[in-house]
Amino acid sequence: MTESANVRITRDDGVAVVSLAGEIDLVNAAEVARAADQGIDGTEHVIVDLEDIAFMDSQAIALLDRLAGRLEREGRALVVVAPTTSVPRRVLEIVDLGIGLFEGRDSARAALASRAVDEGSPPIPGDPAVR
Amino acid sequence: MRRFSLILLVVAAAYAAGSLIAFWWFDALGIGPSFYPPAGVTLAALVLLPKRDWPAAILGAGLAEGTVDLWQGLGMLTPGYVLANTVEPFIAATMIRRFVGRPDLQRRHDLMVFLLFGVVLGPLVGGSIGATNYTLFGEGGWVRFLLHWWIGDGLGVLAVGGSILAWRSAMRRRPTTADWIATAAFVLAAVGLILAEARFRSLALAYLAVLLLGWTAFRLGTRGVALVGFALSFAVATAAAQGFDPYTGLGYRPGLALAYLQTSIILVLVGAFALASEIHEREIALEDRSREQERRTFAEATARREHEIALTLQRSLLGPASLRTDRASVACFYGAAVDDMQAGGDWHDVITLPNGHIGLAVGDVLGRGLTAAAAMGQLRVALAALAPETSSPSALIERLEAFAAGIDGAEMATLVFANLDPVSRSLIYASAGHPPPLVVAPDGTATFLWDGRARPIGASRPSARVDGRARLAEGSTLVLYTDGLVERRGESLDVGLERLREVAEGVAQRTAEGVRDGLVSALLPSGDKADDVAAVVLRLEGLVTAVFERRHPATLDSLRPLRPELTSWLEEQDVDATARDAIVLSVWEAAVNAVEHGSTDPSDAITVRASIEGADVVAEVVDGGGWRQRTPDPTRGNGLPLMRGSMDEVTVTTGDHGTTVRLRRRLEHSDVS
Repeated sequence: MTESANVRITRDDGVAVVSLAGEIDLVNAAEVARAADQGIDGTEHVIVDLEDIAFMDSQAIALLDRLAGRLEREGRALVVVAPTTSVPRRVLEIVDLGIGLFEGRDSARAALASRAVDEGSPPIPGDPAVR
Repeated sequence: MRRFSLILLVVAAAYAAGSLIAFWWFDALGIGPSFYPPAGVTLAALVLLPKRDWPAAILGAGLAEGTVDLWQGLGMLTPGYVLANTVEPFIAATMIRRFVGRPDLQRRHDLMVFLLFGVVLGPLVGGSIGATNYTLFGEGGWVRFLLHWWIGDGLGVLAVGGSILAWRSAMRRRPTTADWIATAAFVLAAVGLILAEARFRSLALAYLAVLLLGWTAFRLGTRGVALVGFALSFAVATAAAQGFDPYTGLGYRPGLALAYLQTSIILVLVGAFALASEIHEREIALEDRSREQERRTFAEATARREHEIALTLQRSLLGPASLRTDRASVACFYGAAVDDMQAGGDWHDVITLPNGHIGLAVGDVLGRGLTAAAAMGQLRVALAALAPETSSPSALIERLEAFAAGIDGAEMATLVFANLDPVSRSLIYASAGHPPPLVVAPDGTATFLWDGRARPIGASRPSARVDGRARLAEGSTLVLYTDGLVERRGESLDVGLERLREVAEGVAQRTAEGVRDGLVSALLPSGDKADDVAAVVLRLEGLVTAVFERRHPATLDSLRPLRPELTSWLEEQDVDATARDAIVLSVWEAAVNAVEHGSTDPSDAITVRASIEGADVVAEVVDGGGWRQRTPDPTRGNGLPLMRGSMDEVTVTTGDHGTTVRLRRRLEHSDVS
């Protein structure tokens, strides 16, 4: 388990859950990225939970994008929990990174479980928009 | 009388000299004068002298001929020869003077006239008289005599007369020392060749002389040809007199051989003269062309300079480019026609009137260039001066029309003037033959204001000027423009107006600058400006009810308090959470951009300003530095899309003194899921 002010990582059944909280911006994005990178080593898939994010800017989006890129190269999957009511939801909709967005951890987990493990499978689609 | 005697004496002396040379020197075979220089002397004298001097010249020639003839023992033949030798030059000179005046043998046309009348026709007439005289009083043989006379006098006119006339021809440049040396060398070479030909009995040397004459035409022109030809004729005649001429060598009878020889020389000389004149004509054509080129280049440079002056003048005469009050903002546009070298007469102005009203004007002075630009400037200044003390737009146009009557170049002009009370938002306007103003309501529907119309300023048929009135809603946009914005060649004005309406409806929710830029980029694609364009965009903004302003040093650390402070200010203004998050995110992105790209000096401040304007939140992030190192950072590429996705309007303006990012979001805007 790795901790930093904004990052909390738990592992469960081969899936790392990276919970980000508070404010992630240009000032602390690099630190958060380092913590997340170390914390997901050795797991199969990754869930990034943004439910408790109070603010994220374009640096946080760049962080997610790099993380998704790394995992894809390694044949691992990344999904994001960002409830419709959460602050990051709108930001992630504006800058569409092609990462599946989920209302909660349960639906994210279910999507990961149903995904074929072989490489080259398409990114996991998120929950249907609840708009 | 003195002049008469002088001319008589000079002509007589020259004639006698030539005549004696012909008799003594060339007439060795006793077959009549083969080469007769005096014919050229008389002709040249008559061509060059004014007609009142002709009697003296003719008398001189006649006396000399008669004297020499009597002296030579020609007796009864003398009167006829005198007649022949005076009628011949008289007729030839009369014809030449009639067609070309004093011929310039360098010119093709003059040379042809000289050859036709001086060399061919004159000697033919003289020869006919001479042959008749000889047949009546001498030994007969009319045709043979005519032939000898004709050829001998023709060569005399060509070699001697040609030399004198060529000498009098205008030179295009002063001969240099090298030219004089070359002339002397050519003359000597010509004489030398012919004498050598006679001495060595070598015809090849004669051909060399022909080559030499051609070379002379190239190197020395007509004058050189005349001189070398003169020398050549004398040398050949001398050689022939001494018993060598090539045609005798070929077995012809002496008389016929001499005729052939002289004809050959005539043809060679004519060829050389023609060559020289051809070269001369070409050089003149070339010079003319380069002079024309020079003239054109100069004219183009002048036109360009005038265009620059006109543009500078015009820019300096235009009104202010923008205006901002607490209830309205105004942005103006002026664009010169792209493919036109002239400045136009389009103009715009924005005036703050003493009662707090805003006066907007857009006009078009008919005509182009400096006059139109100057007239436009005078009209604008007059309007600005008259507007504060004139009760209504129609009255203002009336007074302006009286003023314009005295301005040069302002004979015809169109304009529209609008007076807006930004508090009551009531608009009074009048148009003098100008396209109608356009109003876009806050709901996005655009309407042209067709009232308040009357004739253009300066139109001959009077019509009453009236005012149009309208009340604008808060958030409305008003557009005044000149026809260049809507008119396209081969298209009805209605189509252009409709296009303006559609574009305006699409961009009206922006700020004044945004509307202006949107209209210009949609209606005036670059390179498609056939006419110049002036436009004024006014946006009635809601009353500013609250202002947030912070200045931060341009470092990330000092930016940290920005978000919480802006958030709590927005909360105080009852801005809903969704809009608040979006605004804070966008302002933050803009501020971070300003820190990263805007300044290399951390002490440069970044100003963040936010205000509630009517139903809008408007925020500005201004950095003070120039964007010196604008290296794109891949990790920051999402900043602008985030702002655009979060706000209704994002404009980035980069100027000399930094960059301003202007953000606007409408508060009722339904963004909530």
